[in-house]
Amino acid sequence: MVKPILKLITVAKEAGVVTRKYPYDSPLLTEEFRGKIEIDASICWGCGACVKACPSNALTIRESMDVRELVYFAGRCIFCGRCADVCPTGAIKVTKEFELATEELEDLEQVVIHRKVKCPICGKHFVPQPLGRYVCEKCAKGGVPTYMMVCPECRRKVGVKKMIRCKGG
Amino acid sequence: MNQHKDPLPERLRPIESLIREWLWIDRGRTIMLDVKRENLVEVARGLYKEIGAFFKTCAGVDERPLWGGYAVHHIFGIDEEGLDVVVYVRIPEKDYPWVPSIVREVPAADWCELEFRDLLGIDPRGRLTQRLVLPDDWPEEVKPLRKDVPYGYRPPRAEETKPAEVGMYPSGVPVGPYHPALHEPEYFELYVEGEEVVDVRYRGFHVHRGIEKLAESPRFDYNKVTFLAERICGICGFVHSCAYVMAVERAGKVEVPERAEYIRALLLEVERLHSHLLWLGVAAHLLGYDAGFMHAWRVREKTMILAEYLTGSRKTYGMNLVGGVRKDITPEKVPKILKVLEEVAKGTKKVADMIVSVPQVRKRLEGTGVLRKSDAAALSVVGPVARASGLNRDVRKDYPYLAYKDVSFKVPVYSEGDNLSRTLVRVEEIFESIEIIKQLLDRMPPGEVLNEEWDIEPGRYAVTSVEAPRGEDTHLLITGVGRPYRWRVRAPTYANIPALRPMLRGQELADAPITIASIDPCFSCTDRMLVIDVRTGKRSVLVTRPQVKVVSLG
Amino acid sequence: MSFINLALSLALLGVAVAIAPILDTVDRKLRARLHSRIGPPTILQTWYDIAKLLRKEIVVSEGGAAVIVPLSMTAASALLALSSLPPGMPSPFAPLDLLYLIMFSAAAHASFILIAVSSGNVYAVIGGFREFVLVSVNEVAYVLGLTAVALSTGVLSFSGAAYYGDFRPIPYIVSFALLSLCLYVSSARIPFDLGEAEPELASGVLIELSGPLLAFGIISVLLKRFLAAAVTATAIALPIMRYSGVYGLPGFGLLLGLTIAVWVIHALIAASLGRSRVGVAVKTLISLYIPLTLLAYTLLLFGV
Repeated sequence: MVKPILKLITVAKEAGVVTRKYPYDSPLLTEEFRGKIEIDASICWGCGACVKACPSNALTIRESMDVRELVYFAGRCIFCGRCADVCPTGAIKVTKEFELATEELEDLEQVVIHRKVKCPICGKHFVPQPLGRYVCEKCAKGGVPTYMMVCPECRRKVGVKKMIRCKGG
Repeated sequence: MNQHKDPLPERLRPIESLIREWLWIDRGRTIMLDVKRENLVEVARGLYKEIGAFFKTCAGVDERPLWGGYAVHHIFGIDEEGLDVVVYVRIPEKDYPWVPSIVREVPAADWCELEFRDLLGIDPRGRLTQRLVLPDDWPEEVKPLRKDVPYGYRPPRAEETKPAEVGMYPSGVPVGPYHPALHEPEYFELYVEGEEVVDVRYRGFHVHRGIEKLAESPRFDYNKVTFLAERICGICGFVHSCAYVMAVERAGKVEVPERAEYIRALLLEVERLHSHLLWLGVAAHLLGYDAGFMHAWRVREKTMILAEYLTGSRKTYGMNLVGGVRKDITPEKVPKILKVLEEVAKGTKKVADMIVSVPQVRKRLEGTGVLRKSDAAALSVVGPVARASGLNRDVRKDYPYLAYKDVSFKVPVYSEGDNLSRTLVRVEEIFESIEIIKQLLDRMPPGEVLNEEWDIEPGRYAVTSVEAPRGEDTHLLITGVGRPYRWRVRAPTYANIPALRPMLRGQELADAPITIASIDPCFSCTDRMLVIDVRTGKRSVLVTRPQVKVVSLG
Repeated sequence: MSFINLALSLALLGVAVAIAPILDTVDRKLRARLHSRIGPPTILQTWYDIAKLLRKEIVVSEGGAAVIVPLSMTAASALLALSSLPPGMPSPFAPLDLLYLIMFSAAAHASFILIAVSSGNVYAVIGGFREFVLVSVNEVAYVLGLTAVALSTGVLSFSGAAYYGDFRPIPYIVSFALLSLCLYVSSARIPFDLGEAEPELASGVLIELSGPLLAFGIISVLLKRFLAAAVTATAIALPIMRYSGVYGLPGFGLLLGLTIAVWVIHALIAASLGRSRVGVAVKTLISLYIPLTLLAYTLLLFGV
């Protein structure tokens, strides 16, 4: 009976006290820890690559007439950071934040709102403005982006008309 | 199918006449035998009894979109050859498919036959059947894994619930679904005389999550399923994610950088460390020795922090993708890893020694929960349970995968088959794992860790096995368009739970919790199959009150 | 029986109720330190727990109303047994104090088993059955041990022994060993907490208790533990009181101090061992009790 007591006392003495008074004390996190993500709305294009990669549907896209919203709901997030991997602009940052308990569901949501480009011909809204601007800039090097801000449908119509004119003219 | 015609291996000669055709797949790791339905029982007998293969699992597949019928894949493994043998049986009927049952020849096939009966409606003929995984109020005509059932299907709410049936003995002690010894909802009913357990009834599968069906659904793709697979189990999730990506990579012939294979193996061993230390603590707790519990977990905490340091997360590492891993282990991390390993080795030695030297702990581990070698072999048990009963089985040695062919380690085997040997196997494995990690760090080749250039053809096939802390975890995968066509998971606990019956019989009730725990059961691994409506709240015959109030006091 | 006897006895009961939960916190704190944990933040933690339970609603399980009677009987018997000890003054029950001690201790154990049986829960019944097997072995040895201690003091009363006992050291030490072992077993700590055995029986005897009833259940268990420590402490205090003449309030202090010390030793033993099995426990105990009893009575008989 004495032996187990002595053994336990030795082990406990060597180890010291290892627990800490969390949450009054800091949590035990390493520098590699992955917590919730933050989306920098000023860099985001609204391209949706993160939504496609997200395994748990924490990132979704809500489309309305003239606005595309990128919605991050931390309640579904599995903190894998795949979105940050695939983000072409580096708008998504993985933070170390993990103390997310809240009484308000909205606290778990981050929404990035992108206005869409309006087609000058038919007036329909299509791609998010930053994405449209990016594509324009990219293509501007090759030549003048004549119908860049025209929606794909109108562009096709215009293109066909142009072709007919060329052939017929 | 990825095939090339090579001769039948010598070991399979005795059943050659019963095989219609065979295919070698996956670079000689697997052979698929096309067997006529009427020959199935003979082939199973030959493989199990004469050739000495172990049974891994079976899977029913709805192959109607491919050729018009169903199929059953019985997966056997010949450990000595490192060869998986898939016995493939075509079932032409579209309406009432059936296969002969092989349970009499292969007792280990009991559950998986009931499972394809529940989920695909393929009837195993010539055996007693009952529902295994489907809840009692699930509509009879809906077979959830058939391709024509949408993955989001929810059955109507059951209005009538029938009370649980009372067992055949007068004195039942319910253990579960909620019980302090079981940390997950499972239900054991122990029939006792005095304090002696005379029989056991098991009712599991309370927490199906429909994962296999979900992986086939359009909202998943090959990479996303990796994260889903990791969530099969909260303790050995990385095992499942590895088994899954390896299956995809082997089926789709995806090149994986060697460094990635080393990192995967390393993390698998880190996971084993934490899992075994966790188990050691829980075992001590069940024996009333809480000091052992706390100290085992104190040591385990170091491995959890190590895992976070290497992957970014304490559990559900999120490291795997098809084609490699997401994060490299940079050279500057190595000294810290070695330091943690040193501390863990030292701590484990002291704590394990302390736990085993407590007289009550030792007395209650020694000679309790005995599983004889013959029973272990008949049930094809896996992992530490098999090794404690004298079966020298370890997937890492028998079917080398990832980087395990490049490291040397011992496989601890005991012949007693009691709770103490299962404890000692795990304790020794902790030290072996530490050695393996050191060797892996030493030999890790330089280079890339992720290959993202891949394209997977549909209709390819692979079987992979990974040694989880609890034993062999087997995945079967048939590729589809953009996502798996069929993905079957056989977690190690699935193979080990049937062994609890011989282990518990004749035991004292007091030792039942530690015996149940001695297989290191992971119920969420075992129950991964179904779409269940959580809102109806009615999952099965949950017994909320003790059914039998009188206990015979012997 | 003078006023001061009664006052000190009542004081002991009051102190027992007040400090048993505090000693339980000490127990928890000590265990935590041995586990390398911080443990409960204040010394009053068990009191806070009890207070919280007392504020909850009373839920009486089906057919479990019968629990209330044995529950109150356990606490009352433990207190009555305590009052037969001499806290610096002869007990109000002197000179029949030993008889009362035996009677009320047995009543406390018996009513504790009744809690289990009357709750009707299958786990509680198994727990009660285990407790019954253990108690029936332990009580016999307890009576023999208590008598042997008294015989080795030459007076068949603890109150008397403190004043005019004639101690025979060797039989006294042997019978004290027997008695203190019995008392440890009766404190229902590991390895002998078979009736509760949380991982096996989900708290066994106490399973059907919740809220205020559980609070009383916890107090009953703690009082039983306090009784075990106090009787051990009395057995140690007797020769000290007899030969150094520490009576009255200092005697009271001595008894209390020794009780706390015994409690801590009990806690230390419990933290370092695992839970036994009922069959094994009984066998081990019998194999210890029989030689100790034989030795004690042989020594007494031959007048060593």
